[in-house]
Amino acid sequence: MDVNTLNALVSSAIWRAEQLEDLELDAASSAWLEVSKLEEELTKIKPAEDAEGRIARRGAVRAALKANDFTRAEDLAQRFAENGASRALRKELRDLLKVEANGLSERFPSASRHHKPGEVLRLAKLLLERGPFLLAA
Amino acid sequence: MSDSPTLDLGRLCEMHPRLPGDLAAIMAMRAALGLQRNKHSAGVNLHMAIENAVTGCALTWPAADLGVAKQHDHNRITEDGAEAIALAVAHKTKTWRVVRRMQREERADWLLEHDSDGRRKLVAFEVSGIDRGSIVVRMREKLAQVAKSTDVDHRCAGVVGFERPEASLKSVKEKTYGR
Amino acid sequence: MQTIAFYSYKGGVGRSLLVANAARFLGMLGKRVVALDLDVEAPGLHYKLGRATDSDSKPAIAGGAVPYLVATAKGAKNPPPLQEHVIKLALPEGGDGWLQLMPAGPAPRREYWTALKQLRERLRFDEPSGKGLAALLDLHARIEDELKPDYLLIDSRTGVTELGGLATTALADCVVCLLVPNQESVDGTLAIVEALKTSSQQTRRDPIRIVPVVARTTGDLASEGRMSEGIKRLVEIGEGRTTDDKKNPKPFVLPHDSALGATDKIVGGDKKASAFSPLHKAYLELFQNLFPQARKEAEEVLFRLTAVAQLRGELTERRRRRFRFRDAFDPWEDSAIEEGVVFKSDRGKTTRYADLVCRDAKGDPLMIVEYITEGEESEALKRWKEHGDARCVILLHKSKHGFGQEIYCRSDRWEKFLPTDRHEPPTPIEFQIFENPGKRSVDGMLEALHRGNAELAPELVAEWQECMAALGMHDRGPGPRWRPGEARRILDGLAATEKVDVAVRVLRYAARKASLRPEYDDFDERHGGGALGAITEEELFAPLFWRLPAEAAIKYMSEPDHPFWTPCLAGQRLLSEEVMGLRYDPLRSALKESDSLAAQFLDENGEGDHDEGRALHVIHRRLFREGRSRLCDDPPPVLLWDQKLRKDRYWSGDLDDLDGETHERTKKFMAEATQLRTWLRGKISRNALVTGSLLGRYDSASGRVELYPAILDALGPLLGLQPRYLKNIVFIQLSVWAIAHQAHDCDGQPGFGFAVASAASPFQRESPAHIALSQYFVFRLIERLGDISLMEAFEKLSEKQPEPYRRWRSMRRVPVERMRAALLRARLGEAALGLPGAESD
Repeated sequence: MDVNTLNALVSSAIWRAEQLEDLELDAASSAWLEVSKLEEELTKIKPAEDAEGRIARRGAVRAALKANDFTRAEDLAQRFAENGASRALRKELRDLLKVEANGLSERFPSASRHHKPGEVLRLAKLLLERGPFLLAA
Repeated sequence: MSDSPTLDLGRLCEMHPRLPGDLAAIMAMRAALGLQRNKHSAGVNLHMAIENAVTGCALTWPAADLGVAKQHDHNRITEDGAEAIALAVAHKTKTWRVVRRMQREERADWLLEHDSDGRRKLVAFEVSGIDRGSIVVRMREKLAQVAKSTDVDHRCAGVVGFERPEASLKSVKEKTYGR
Repeated sequence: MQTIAFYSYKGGVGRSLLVANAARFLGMLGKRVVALDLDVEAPGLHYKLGRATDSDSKPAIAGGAVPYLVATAKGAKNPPPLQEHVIKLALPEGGDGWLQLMPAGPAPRREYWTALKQLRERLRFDEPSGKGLAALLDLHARIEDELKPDYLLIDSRTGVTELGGLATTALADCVVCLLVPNQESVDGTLAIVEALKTSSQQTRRDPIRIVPVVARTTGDLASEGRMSEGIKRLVEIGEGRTTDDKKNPKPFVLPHDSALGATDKIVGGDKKASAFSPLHKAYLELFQNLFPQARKEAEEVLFRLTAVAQLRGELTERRRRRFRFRDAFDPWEDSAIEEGVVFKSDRGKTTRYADLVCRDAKGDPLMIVEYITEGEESEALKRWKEHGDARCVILLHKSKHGFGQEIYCRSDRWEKFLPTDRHEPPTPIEFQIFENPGKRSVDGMLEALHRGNAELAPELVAEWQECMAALGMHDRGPGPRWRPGEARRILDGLAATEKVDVAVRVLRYAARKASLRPEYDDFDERHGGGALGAITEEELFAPLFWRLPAEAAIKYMSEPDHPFWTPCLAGQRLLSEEVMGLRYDPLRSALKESDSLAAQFLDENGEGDHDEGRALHVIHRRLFREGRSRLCDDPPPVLLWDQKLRKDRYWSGDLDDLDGETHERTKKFMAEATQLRTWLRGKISRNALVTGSLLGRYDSASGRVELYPAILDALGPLLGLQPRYLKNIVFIQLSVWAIAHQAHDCDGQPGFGFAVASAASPFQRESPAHIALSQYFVFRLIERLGDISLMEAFEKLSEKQPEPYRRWRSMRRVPVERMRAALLRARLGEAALGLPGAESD
């Protein structure tokens, strides 16, 4: 897919996700996941040295967090960091993750003393995907 | 700057080819609702302050049925309508074109581009709308906001007021961001 | 903190019970324990740990895990204090351990279900933002950080649920998986255990311990088959028992104990068997594995729990006495017993832990149970004297064959506790009846019965039976428990009962519950056997029938227990058969009559509703509602006639001819005590106290015996007699007349055949010979009863009656058999009715 098409798609997706978020609808979460995936596609075309590439990388991680998919956000950040992101960009991506994690830690201080926020979010995602006891395939 | 004294919101897609058609249509429709509810009709004079230069043009748009205004969020009419007008003005006055929409956390609504000395330059364009009242204070706020945008060559704020109607575009003094 | 979650795929396997027992066990071992109930849809841990309600029957706590999680669902920056959501449980002093319970909430009250609904709305544990999960982890962390227990035991939810999954995968270091030996449970548990093993690798840093436990087994587990393979696999994935055969590890097994369901606690085995039941040993083995401790301490703790649990079970069960189906006294209600209570001394300086406290309805302690070690008895008793108002202390201790108990009682809080010879703990009613429940003597029971404690009636009857019982009494003769002297004492004590309702109860309990149809009989079942039952009827009921207040006998005869109940006629048989030599069986004739009556409900073809029930009801109504005996408030005929004759000297009519004005006047006369006494004195002075139509009446048409209590109550003091004995005598006299009229001789002919004077006319009287004869039989009966008070009353009354009533004196030496023979000859016409020893008439 060419960059113009992707840009058009990501524009529509962002606009839609923002509308849903403003309306506090549950569908906002999946809309942001779509944004994250489109931004991720853009990162495949636009290198990290490119301004648009950096915008897309931040966009992909941020949108994953907004979709409550911390694991995806972590994976993307990890991948971008390993594939040419500058130190500044890596720091920006880490900060994005930290802010999200800090939000949970602030709300549940006792839990945060015993569990890293990332662990909690990862487990929550596993439970969502595979149900109790992670029994589901 | 275009010579045409008319700015037609119905031709937003032509001005910005990368703007998705459905998005352009809804933005134009909301702009129409915002203007019409302020008792303006197509051809109204749009006062423009581009950087510090004052100018004007006739603004036209595909008519919208005011009856459907209730189905749209009041603020969304103002904001999306403002984006339509501001993007049109940005194209008309500065030949900027939409690259893509940006997430809010990038401190700007749109990423625009233009050619300058044969080089492609990127612009962070933050837009806001005011249904009634002065746009001065809003402009200050938006400039402060877009000033924090990174990875672009220019940062610009556009504020549209529907009452008069008027549109103001101002750029932040450029800083060098290079990575 | 070590977190152990107890999980089961299916419910009803004993999971909550195991958590409760493990919690107490650890607490008593000196560990700091928190028990957490996450079985939120069906919470029960607070019941198992005896904290469902406080002493006012209100929920012991308003908080719990569910209200806590509702409060912290969105964030726990300012969480509620944990103390509002936990309950402290008492443990014996001296240890460092403590036990706290965080129940699910105040279930089953409505506010709990409201909170549970709110929890479902506000908290999703699989919420991708992690908030739901973080709330639960936060609770877990707070318990660890603030309460600092050594162990957190979690009662997890059965089946596959989010909370159950989290309790095991996210919170627990060790998961005890309970299952029962059926395929469904094994297959389900295996799926969970496999998932636990896999998921723990994905979700945790440290591997999770999994301990499968097979519960409620009866006998050995099968060694082959799909179920057996499943259990083997469980043990391979998890942990098994340590055995010599390392290639075939065995699972932990908790065998079924049939008493467990009743007591809901660990139960020890038969006292005569080994100190540890199989279940007891199994618990020990499992706890040793879960909580490795010195074995000796663990054994001690478990033994104590077992002893207390067994005693608790005994306290709440009806005891079976040797010859009775059930004990007379109700056992303790489960809600009256509290476990694990710490008492403060009166001055508040010392405390003492009671394993069990049994309370009265007001919540005051009546009985304390404490498990002690050898040599601690006097210290324990001294302390309990200081610590409150209980009147009984039971000290449990280890003994050679299990555990023993010593029961100590006192009359009030100021006395010392003294040993008793009781073998069984007192029941609640005994604290009401006896000042000192340790002094449960027959005299004490009789005293209490006479005071009005009718509950003692069945107990005393049972005591009498114990005294009369003999081992194999059918042919081997009396055994060592045979105490006829004591039995007589009980009989005399029972006979001295004055209160009519208590006396009725005594009669009911001593009687055979016969009915017109044998299928309604439950006598043998209740009295433990045919021979003892017959003896009870003949030797206890029959004499009591005549010796207890006559009102009681009359009431007993006329108030049925159930529609087809008929009263015991042993009393009448004693008089008719043993004394008078006649056969008196109204039930047989009633049965014949009912059969013929029932046949009338058939149509000509013999079809239709053979309504036996209706027939029986008709007969029953006739027999008993119309009444064979009654107390009559109407003026006696003699008084009526007297009042009539005062107004109309020449009146010569019958009772039916008397006008209403005479009746009214006579009633007023009777109501005037002074007038009545004056009138009776006149009768006394003229020796004119006839029985019939004055003191009582026998109506030959209806077969009914009536007493005139107003006359008898007024007459008694005039004769220097208690009215109660006077009524007995009159009742006996009239019953003799009734039986003489209704009974049959051994050849089926009517009794002595004398005609009874009509009660309607004052000018007819019974024949003096018949009166004398009747008096003779009255004397013989009273002699047979051996009741001095009755004999005295009989003698005194007869002195003031007309001459024929005194003739029994000259006949008293005539044996009964000779008297009967003379009567037979008279009936057969062989001789005139010349009563031997009597003046000829």
